[in-house]
Amino acid sequence: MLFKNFIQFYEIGKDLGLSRKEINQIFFFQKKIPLSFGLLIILVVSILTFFFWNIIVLIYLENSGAVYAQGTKYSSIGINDFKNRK
Amino acid sequence: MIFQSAFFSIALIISIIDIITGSIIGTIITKWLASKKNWDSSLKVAFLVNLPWILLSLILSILETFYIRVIYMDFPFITVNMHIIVIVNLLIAFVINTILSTLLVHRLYRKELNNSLFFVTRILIILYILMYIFAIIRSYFLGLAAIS
Repeated sequence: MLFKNFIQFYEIGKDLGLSRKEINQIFFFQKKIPLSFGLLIILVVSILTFFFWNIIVLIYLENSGAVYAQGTKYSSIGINDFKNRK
Repeated sequence: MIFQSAFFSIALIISIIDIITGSIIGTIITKWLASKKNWDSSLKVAFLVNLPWILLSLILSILETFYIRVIYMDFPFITVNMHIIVIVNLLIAFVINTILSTLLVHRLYRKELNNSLFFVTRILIILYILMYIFAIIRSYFLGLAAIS
């Protein structure tokens, strides 16, 4: 049904003497967003992405470091950890 | 500890040398392309077009140095692929750079946004490829492939 409509659009357009490019414009929004506005939106979105991506990475790096038990100096690994080792 | 801090400051100095080289190359490319199109071919305007690249590269290099420091300090405990962080940052910086430079070209050369977007994209693609080649050559000489 959809393809039938498309073909009909092309046939009507050809009868009216429109070029292929002009017929194709029917399928897109007539009110185009101006390029300057689009660029500004992309700029804001990418700056926010850059900011949050780096914050996420920093938080991950901060939290994935070595965690020591209270009172220990270098490592929390004890002899008991190796008992089950074969 | 002294060795480590020296290592990181060397990394930062190398990236600053990269930025200076890139800004010179970018200015030359901009001047060349502008004169090819019969636009204003002054060095000052060409340098101003490359200003966003310089600033963003500086921010990126400081961030990278910081990341390398954090990763290498806790090396046995953290398994992070440094290249993913660098590549994502580079891609986002490319988009920001392109748009800022486009707006600058639109303002300074007084051309349409379409034309200035194509102009800037061409400059940046050439610049990024050249800087990548430069980083590979430099890493061969200095053995600092991780900081490229």
